[in-house]
Amino acid sequence: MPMDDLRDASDAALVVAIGRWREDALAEAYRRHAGAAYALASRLLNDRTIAEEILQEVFLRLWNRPERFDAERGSLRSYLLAQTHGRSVDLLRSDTSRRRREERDARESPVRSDDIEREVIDLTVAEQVKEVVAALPEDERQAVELAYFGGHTYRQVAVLLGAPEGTVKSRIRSGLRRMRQNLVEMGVGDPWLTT
Amino acid sequence: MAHDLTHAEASEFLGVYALDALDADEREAVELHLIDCGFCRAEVEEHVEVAGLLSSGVVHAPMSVWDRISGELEGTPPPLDLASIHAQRPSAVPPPVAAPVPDQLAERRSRGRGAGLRIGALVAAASVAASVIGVLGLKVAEDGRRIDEIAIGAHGTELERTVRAAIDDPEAVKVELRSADGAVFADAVMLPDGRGYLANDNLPTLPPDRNYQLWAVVGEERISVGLLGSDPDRSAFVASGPVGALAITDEEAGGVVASLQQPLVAGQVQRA
Repeated sequence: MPMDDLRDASDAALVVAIGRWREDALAEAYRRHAGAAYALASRLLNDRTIAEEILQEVFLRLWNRPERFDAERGSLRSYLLAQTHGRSVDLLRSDTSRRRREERDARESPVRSDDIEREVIDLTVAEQVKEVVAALPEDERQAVELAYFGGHTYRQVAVLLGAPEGTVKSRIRSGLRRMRQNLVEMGVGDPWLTT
Repeated sequence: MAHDLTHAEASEFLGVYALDALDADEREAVELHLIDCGFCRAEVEEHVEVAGLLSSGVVHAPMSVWDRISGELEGTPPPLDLASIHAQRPSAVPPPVAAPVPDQLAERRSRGRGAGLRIGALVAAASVAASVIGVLGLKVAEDGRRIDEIAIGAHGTELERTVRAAIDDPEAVKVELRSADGAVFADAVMLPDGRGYLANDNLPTLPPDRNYQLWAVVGEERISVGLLGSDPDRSAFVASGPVGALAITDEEAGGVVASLQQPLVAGQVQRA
């Protein structure tokens, strides 16, 4: 694949090229998705230096183990974000980072109604995501937000919201399902999701 | 979580699992369930996709991070020391190849594409590979067995799906073929009915007059199970019988009935 073609290549094709040791393919993947991964890690950890380390780790992992990505199971972006989120949460829950989260939580209200919306910027699809998020029942949105952006376990979310653990599990699951259903109805279907 | 989850129990955890909002023991229990439940796997994939959308944005990652990443890539791909392997090609009987020590493996793991492999599995695979390499070159059964052309009929997406299904098959056996120094690898998967697939490799491209050839070790026999071409990609093969190991050699185009070459990579078929 000529280098000029990489900009138009699908994510799946990029990963194939990465599997063939094409550094320019990794650079293109970084151009497309590193911003979202960096924003997520920074948000979770409240520390840009550590977020940069995680970003580096996630993309080096893609370089070293490209076969771990399966294009039929989701988009490259969601794969990279899941890697970023998992690694960030691991750090967040470690003893050394606990204080960092406590400091962050002390500065922020545990539940901010505009948190999810703030993450969605001015892309056309992102606007639709924003609309779908805003349409979520408040209790579902709070639970999703605290778990995903707060890095809390559902048990911790239950304590923060003063709700039963089972209820929190159900709210998160139903919130995610509702968002997906609404996105599909708005035309944000699989083709976009897997691009 | 002491017990295996029922489908109903596991289903309740799928949303929080997708958001990394489980404790370690619960996460482990869910992952055990996901191994055998395609329905739940599909739901998790949908949740992960939706969660990824929440992080949409136009934030630009620092280019300094890319510079660091790019700097880390300078050492890769790992050097393929084929010259030394070729230099060891014997005229008759090759000497055994020493197994790499664990420290060497750990070093490779930290700098090469093998990063992330389970230590135990890698050490075991490398040790076995070395022992297979030692015996494979001794003599190859000249029993007139035909050289099976790899079933190249299945191409592209269809083959990709077939290989992926084989990898996900709980009854499949994964075979890690490694060079003696661990730098070159090929991963294969074998199904109980004898069908097998080369799933992933970093074998270097050979000149047009050379070919990779795949061998199955059955008892003391080394049986050709396919020609992989000069630049192997995902490929299918059939290896019936109690295959104990797989190995790949570098041969002249068209392949050979019996090889006196040392395998470039080899690995034991470890059945449960």
